[in-house]
Amino acid sequence: MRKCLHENTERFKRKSSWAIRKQKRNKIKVKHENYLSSLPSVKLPEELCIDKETERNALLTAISQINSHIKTHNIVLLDFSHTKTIHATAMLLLNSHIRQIIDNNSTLKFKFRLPHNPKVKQVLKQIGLLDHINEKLRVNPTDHDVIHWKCVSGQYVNNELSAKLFTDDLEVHINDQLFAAFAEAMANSVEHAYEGIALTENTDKWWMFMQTKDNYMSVALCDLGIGIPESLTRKDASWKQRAIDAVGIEKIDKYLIEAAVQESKSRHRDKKERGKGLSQIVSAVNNYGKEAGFIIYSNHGCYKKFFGDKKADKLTTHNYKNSINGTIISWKVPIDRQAS
Amino acid sequence: MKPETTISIAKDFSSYPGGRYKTHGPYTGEGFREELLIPALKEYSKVIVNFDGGRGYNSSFLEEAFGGLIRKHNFTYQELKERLIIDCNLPSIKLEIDQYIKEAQEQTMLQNA
Repeated sequence: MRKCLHENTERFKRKSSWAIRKQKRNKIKVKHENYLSSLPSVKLPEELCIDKETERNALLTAISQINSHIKTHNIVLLDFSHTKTIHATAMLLLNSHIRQIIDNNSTLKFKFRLPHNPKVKQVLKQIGLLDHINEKLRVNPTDHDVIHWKCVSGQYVNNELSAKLFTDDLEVHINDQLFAAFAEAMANSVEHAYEGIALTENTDKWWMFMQTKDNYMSVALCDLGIGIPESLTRKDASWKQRAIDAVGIEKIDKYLIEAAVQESKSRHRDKKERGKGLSQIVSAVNNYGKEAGFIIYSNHGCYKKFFGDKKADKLTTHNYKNSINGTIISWKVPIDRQAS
Repeated sequence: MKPETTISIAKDFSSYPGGRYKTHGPYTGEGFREELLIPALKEYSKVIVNFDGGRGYNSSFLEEAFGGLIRKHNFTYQELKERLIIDCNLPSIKLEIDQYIKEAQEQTMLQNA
């Protein structure tokens, strides 16, 4: 009987201790939630996407709110609790903005309301965003769609870093033409994209996502500079009027992106030289055949080219209502074979 | 002057050069020109620049490295044609460099006129 009483007492003590601990944890949780609720917050949309007009506007509004809050507050809450779907180019844009803000504001802190969606949690962990802001998240990326993404950034032209990324996992061979084209895109981000924009010493100028998966390599490079349309009109002011005459003032960005691609191609067509800049990238991706594709987002405009046989070869351009205030160049090429 | 030397960009400078000015990165066209090319042209009557083993020779690297010889160091197109040999198995790069040197010469002549 005495033994039974003793065991019951011990069990009661353990249960009480557990209950007390649980109560404490709940109190901390409530306190933490109250704290987060008191912060200026930005709710990220359910779908992070820059391709569809509504979703793009929602993301750009959120980015604008972030920039607005940081002017008057030192801590801002990013609320990912409702985010369910992430497109790579949209995440790259958001990531670039957040990291640039952090680089430029040493006293600023971001807090996160973490996503409920497990895949979104994995994405935030995989791209290192949470580590970057010292947010502890006990999740190991395991999803097939997540684990192959890599994220790097830099202030300088760093082709060695790119080469290492491209060859790291699968010893993927990226041909010299495509590599040179990528080097060109990175150089443009460093050398031209920020003309007239004052940056602090430690600010990165480009951010890149890269993935090799299912026999494809996808790369996206982002800068938050003046954009291709602005860059073209600064080189030659007549382009703006030409664009207005061709498509009207509200659609000039898509026209100017296409013009930038064509202009760099036509200057070199007869000279048998390598193209420069955008045409070099387009040409390099084209050589990977019909499974390759290429997208440029710059300011309001978008230029998409999916290569195929002559019937399937498709170019589309689009002008969006709101600007991404920068440029994202993205391509996808098959990696199970060399370019022709 | 000594007769001839060869500079291997990949071995003597970087396997992954890129960018225009030194402020743009660690292995830029300006860096290559000032650290390797100019000293070689001062010491040797013929300089061979070998491109084997390197990747990512973007246009601004090439233009600053070679076009800069005219713009910044007063070489002439003719002089470089005799003394500078581009050893590269990609004809497009040779052509591109030749174009940059020519354009730099034309711009310099215009400015001096």
